Amino acid sequence: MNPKKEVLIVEDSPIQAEMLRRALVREGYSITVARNGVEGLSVLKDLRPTLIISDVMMPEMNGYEMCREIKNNDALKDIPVVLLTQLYEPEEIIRGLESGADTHITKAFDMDYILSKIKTLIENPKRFQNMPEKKSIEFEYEGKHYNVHSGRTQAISFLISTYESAVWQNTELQKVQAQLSNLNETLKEKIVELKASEDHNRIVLETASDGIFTVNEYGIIDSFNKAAEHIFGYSADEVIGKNISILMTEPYRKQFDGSIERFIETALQEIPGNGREISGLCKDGSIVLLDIIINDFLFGNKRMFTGTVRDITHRKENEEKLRQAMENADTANKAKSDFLAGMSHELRTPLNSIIGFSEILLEEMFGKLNEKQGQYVSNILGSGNHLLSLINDILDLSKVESGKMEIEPARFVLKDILDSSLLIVKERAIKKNIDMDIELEFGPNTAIIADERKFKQIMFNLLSNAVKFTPEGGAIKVRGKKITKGGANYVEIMVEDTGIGIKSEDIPRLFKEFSQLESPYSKQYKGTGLGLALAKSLVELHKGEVFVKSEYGKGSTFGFTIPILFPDYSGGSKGKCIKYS
Amino acid sequence: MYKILIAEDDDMNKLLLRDILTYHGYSVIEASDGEECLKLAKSIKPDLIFMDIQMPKIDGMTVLRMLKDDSLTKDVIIIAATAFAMKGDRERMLSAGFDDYISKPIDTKQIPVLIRKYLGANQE
Repeated sequence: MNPKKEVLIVEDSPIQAEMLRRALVREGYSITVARNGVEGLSVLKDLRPTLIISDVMMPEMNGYEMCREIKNNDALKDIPVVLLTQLYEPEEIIRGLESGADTHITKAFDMDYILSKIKTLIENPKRFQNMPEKKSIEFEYEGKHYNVHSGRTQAISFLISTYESAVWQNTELQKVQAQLSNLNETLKEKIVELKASEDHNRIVLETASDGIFTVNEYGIIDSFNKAAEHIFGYSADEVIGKNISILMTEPYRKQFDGSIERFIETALQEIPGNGREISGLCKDGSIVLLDIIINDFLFGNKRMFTGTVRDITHRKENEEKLRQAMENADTANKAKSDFLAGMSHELRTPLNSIIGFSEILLEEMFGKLNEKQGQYVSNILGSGNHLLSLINDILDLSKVESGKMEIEPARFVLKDILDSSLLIVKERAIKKNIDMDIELEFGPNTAIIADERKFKQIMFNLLSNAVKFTPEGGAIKVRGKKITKGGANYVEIMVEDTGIGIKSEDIPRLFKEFSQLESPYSKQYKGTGLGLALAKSLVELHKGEVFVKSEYGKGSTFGFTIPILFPDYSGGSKGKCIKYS
Repeated sequence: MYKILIAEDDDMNKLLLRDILTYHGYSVIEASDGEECLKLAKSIKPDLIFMDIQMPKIDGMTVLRMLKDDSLTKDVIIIAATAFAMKGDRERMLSAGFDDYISKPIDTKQIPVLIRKYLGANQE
């Protein structure tokens, strides 16, 4: 292994010096660093390095001066000197030649290039053996006089390195140019993309059904889309550059003064806000009701605001109409309730006498009645009770309608209730010689949870209808079974009769209150037409359904399904009230 | 013999109650409006009152309050007999201070049962 070769670095920038030192140490050289020409010469009193690398611009003594000193010193002149510099100007190249430097390397080179150059210089010192030149070369350049003492080899080497540097810089320039050209292409593509995206955004903005505008931090309108033009009646040209307050009515206009400044100062969300309803002023002076959303954003370093407005005049009008209609409906409903309560009271007072006196006469409180008298009093009592049940039906129906009907769910055995319902109409059926039968597809102990009284009411209404519309000698059959629908268990009860039947076109009206079917029925069959409507309401209160099948002239089947377990029933206490509205 | 006051402005209904009560052996006093009811209740001190609610001069609710506030009459059993028979009416009457409530049309057979509940068997 060769003894370590010494390199002297003369460099005033500690960072540059250190970078160079580290790179050369890694290559196996022994390094000494001097901070300027004076220090470099002082080091050279004792040190004979293989190579000197020197910066040009240095305090106290620059690289040219130091180089000249070295080349004028017989003991040092054979040590190759590399100037680290950028020689752009011909004058600098000449000064480099004058100084007698052997070569120069531009500082812009990368470290690998510098290292390879230095290696070549160190490994081929002979190439730089300076032939003494008796005559110096004298010449003029741009009016200045120069005197170059360098040997020919040295001068050529120096000029070649200058040329190399120029070529290298040219190559670098070409590379940079290629990069630039690439960048330019990319930029062009970006611009096309941007333009497309801008077109897209503009279309979105212009076709938006909400009015959208932007305002700068002074409240000046900056943009105004088509929908905004439509809402306010101004064209974009008319408002852009004007203060946003021209679109405002009092008191917003007054409140607006200074509010942007306050917002920017305090960052309080005074202006931006969501879903506020305000009124806006149109070009023709009319006022438009708006839903407004304001957002702030930074555009560059400027704060901007976007306003999105929606014309809610129609919505407001409709809301007001709706409110009015609901108020009217409430008033009407209240009037109806009051009327029904009053009617109930007024009808019950005479009924009290009719029913009460009939009862005490039948009880023979005041002596025996003969058969005919007994029969007639009984008729009065029956009619009185019928009238009372009609009053109760009307009240019940109105309660269902107004949502005041309450369900009192409890467990009861179905068969018991069905039997007792049949019993209520039995007398009437017997009179018309109607055969009544019950056929259940579930056990006699099957129980359900529902409102027992209302269940009875439903059955009573269906059975009384069946008896009413079935001619003498007909038959009524009650059928019951369990069914499953949508994962829930129901009971289905059907009342079949051999009555007059219903025309299919009349079926939809069946369950409407006060709509007993037209003549001939209404003449032949008495009733308010409330029964089926009430039955339907009561079934639906139980979350069940009513249905009807009928063949005109042959008979009808009225039926209903109700859940085996009343929905929401938590079990437990009997008589628990669940209110449905 | 227990004394029972009927406060009722409808003649027919008053007659019905009187017949029932007389039939069951009670002594009956009649008032046709609230004012008369108040006067008779204080002067005669009945054992029980059947009181209508909607009455001329003073309504049944007010009469009830006046009687229950008066130490002379506060222990008299007062039963509302009214055609106010909508849901909630019963609760409204009982919470107003009536001892019991029957709705019209009344159940004639229930009347003697109800009286015995409060007064026990009739005294001869």
